[in-house]
Amino acid sequence: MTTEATENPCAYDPEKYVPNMGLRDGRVNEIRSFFHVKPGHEKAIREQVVEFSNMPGRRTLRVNQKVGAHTQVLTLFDNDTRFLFGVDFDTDWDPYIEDSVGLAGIERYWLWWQHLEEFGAYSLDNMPSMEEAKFLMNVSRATAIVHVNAFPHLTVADKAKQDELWNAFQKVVNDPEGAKALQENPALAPLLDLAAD
Amino acid sequence: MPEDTPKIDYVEMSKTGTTAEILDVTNQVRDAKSEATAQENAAYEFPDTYSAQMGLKQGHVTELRMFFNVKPGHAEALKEELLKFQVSEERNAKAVHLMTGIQSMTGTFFDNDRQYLHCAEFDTEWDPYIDDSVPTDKQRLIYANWIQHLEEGKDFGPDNLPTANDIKVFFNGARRTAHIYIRTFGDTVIEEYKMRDLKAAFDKVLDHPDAANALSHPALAPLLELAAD
Repeated sequence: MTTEATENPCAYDPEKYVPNMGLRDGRVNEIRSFFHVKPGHEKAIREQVVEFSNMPGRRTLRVNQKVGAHTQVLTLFDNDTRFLFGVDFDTDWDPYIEDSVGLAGIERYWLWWQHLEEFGAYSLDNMPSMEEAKFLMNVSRATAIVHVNAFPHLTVADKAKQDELWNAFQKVVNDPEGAKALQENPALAPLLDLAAD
Repeated sequence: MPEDTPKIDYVEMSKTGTTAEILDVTNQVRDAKSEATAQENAAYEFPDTYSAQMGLKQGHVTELRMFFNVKPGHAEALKEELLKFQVSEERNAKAVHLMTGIQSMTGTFFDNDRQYLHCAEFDTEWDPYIDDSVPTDKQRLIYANWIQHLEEGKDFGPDNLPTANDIKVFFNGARRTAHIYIRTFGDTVIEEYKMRDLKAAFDKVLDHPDAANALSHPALAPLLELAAD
């Protein structure tokens, strides 16, 4: 990464922190942060993001509901010299990153941060604070110009409830007594119509 | 596309009615054009480097990340076309969602607008995803209008529309498979629309004066439990 003049854009400066980046579609926000991989660290970052992503509980509904994470996609590009951190989430930026980093621990994020030039001022003995980490994630961030979701008004919590209802309905329609019960009261007609599909 | 290929108007198809009714129509359209599409795909000369299997999958959903170079001086024009693309009826009609399985799309400029990242998630396979996204010249024009501003777009544009297979090759050339892909829910768009319809139906039931009595049947206990939430 080249540094223009004498100013280092990655030097922590709370005055330059912008928490409201990201383009929202309905309730879903996006983050796309573009980093530079330290030369020679390509293999290590590939291995470490796998370890990071396999953190116990990381892929569970409980954790994703807590932080409001819909998707997380980590991609190396430009012959592995660049790293893209992309997430769609339904909370605001500050609570999202504070919950995510707080749940995992800074040490866990350090697994891959340590391989990025943007985090070059830090080390294992001098890891970034939460505020410094938020700043660096945002310095490398670009707000999308377009962002569309098929169901933008659903949070992770809403989708989880939707899933619960779906599973309950399947139990009912797959039960001969349940299917019969749907026919017995006109109040249930909307559900009966769907059971027929 | 041969002249006898059915006309495909996603906006009109979306007015058909319920999710199930729209699905019937989209399935009929797909069946009607499948032979012509298969012939077109078989006749196309894909480069040796082309692979239809890129992208990581979570549940039913595949991720797509493409990194493009913006033609010098074209950033603002590209942004305008992308904004039009975002709000186009051809992009947002319900039939498009059901047919292509498109879950999300994001476009981001970076490196001082010199590069453009196009992301999407979809739950069909790659070939039908692209074939169904651009079945006619109408949709291909919408794509050509923004592709023309990318260096990788070569000479495609409004006067030289890419075919679906041209787009597959063009997209794959700029595509990088993610290293990690985590998605909280891996349902298809079709499943999500059905879930949405179910919620609306359940809400109607709960609003009925006789709801409590209706749901008190022992076989409906799974629904009654949720009604209490």
